Amino acid sequence: MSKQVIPLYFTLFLFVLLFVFFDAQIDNEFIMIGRLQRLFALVLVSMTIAYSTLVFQTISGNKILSPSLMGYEHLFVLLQVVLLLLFGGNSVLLQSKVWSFLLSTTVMVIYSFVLYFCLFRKPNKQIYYILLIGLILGIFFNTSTQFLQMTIDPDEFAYVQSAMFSSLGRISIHTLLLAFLLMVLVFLYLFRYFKYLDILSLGREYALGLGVDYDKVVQQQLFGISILVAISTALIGPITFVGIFVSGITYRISSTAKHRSNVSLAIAISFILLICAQFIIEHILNYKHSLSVLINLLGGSYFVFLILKLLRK
Amino acid sequence: MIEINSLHKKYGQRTILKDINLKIPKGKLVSLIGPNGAGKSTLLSIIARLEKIDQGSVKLDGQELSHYALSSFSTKLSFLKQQNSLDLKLKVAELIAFGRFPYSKGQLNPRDIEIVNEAMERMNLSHLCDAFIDEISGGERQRVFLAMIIAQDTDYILLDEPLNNLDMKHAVEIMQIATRLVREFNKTVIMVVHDINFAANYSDYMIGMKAGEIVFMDKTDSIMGEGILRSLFDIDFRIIKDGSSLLCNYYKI
Repeated sequence: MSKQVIPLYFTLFLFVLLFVFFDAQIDNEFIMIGRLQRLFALVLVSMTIAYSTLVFQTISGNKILSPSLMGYEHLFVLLQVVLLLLFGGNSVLLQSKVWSFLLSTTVMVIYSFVLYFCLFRKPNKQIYYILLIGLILGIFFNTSTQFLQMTIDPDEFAYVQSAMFSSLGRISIHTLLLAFLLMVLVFLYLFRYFKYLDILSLGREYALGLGVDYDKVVQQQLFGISILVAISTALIGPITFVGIFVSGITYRISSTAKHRSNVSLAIAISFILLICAQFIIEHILNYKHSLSVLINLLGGSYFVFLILKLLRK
Repeated sequence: MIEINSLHKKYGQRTILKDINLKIPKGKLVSLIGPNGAGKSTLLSIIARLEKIDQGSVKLDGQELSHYALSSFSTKLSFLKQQNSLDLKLKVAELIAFGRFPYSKGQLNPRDIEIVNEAMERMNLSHLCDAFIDEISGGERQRVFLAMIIAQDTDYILLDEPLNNLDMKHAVEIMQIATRLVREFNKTVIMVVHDINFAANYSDYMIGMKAGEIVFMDKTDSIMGEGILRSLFDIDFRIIKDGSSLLCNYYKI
């Protein structure tokens, strides 16, 4: 662990304290449990964002890509619209947080399985090919959503609109537990291959030369990533785009290419970003903005700052 | 020994390798020469199992390539690519340590560290050990990758144009190291070389390739003739012998 990381973890700890105890009535159980739930959700989401983005970038050999380009999130929104049209706003599938979480996760996981299985049957298909297909399908989902929106009752449209933006209002104890359980399973599955991640970044030829079955490891990682993205999207809505900022900041701060330290660093950074944004939403903006909008604003300004700094050199 | 029998390779409709038959002996320095597009790199890639065989067979020490498990293959044969650039914050020592991955699976033991340090010293890289690989020169990076291959400690070492981007001093150094690997450690080094003079002065055997076919394969001494080189490269050569070394002049004839 390098020295720059210590203040980072200190900041993180401060923000957690601030988030939980700022302006709080400790004896009010309802408020405290709510805050702890949201805190836990942010931890889960930071872990999925950090791992999926960093490993996705390693596999694609490109540091400005994000798994959200594969169309999961557009599919998620489309799914909400279709459900609304088919079953109406009062359906249990939309009203029950658990059912909606399970259904969304399942659909997104099936989507990625279909995507990968079709493509991996043909060997030598590059990751970029899959990415392009995902991107095009994402656009297709998005335009389908827009098309279907026209037919929606304005009252019910509000529901769709809320699905388009990530928000912690969607979580409940049950969905959190489900998400936590699923994530533990995925990480247990991925953990065995963790030692291969550093080798993957050398590219296919060297990985094979060093005795690592590159194609197999990449497939397993992509499956894992798709489930992680599905979980976090189903939990709080489209958010994984934030990963690009997170990875950008991570690679800037980090002084190593080792995944072990970079992933934990990225988890800390995305957690700080998320908790900051959520804190601002809760206490300053009075719940008027969605999490992703604010984070993209924060991350975007950081990027502008970076570019300005680079230009001055 | 590497035995190649009636090997064919196509990319789509284009034939890259046509009926290749070769026996490459163990413990020798072998150069693959020939014009661009002759199929030299493809042949190396096939031996390194990076490309699939369309037809024919390649045997390594009597055993079919595809019968080796990936992990044991990586302790038997290593391959250095032509282009080596990585956009990673890797230190020189860390990259070289990857060469031990087939043995250590990521957990370096003291013996691994010793081998990594030896490889680093042999390639004159010890002073750079904490430098990042994207901050060193192209020639230094080439040597770092070669050091990684040396740390991998395999019987067979395939090098695809290892002299690319190197100045004369470092090119000579690389060839000397390759010779030492063969003489002292009984490795088999097979390399694609574009500089005919390096190939002629250092290699035990030479394989000439043109348009996907083997034109010749023999001991270097029996090949160095003006006629043979002219038929391979379609330009005129004049061979100048000078005691222990020889020079193939094609610059201005």
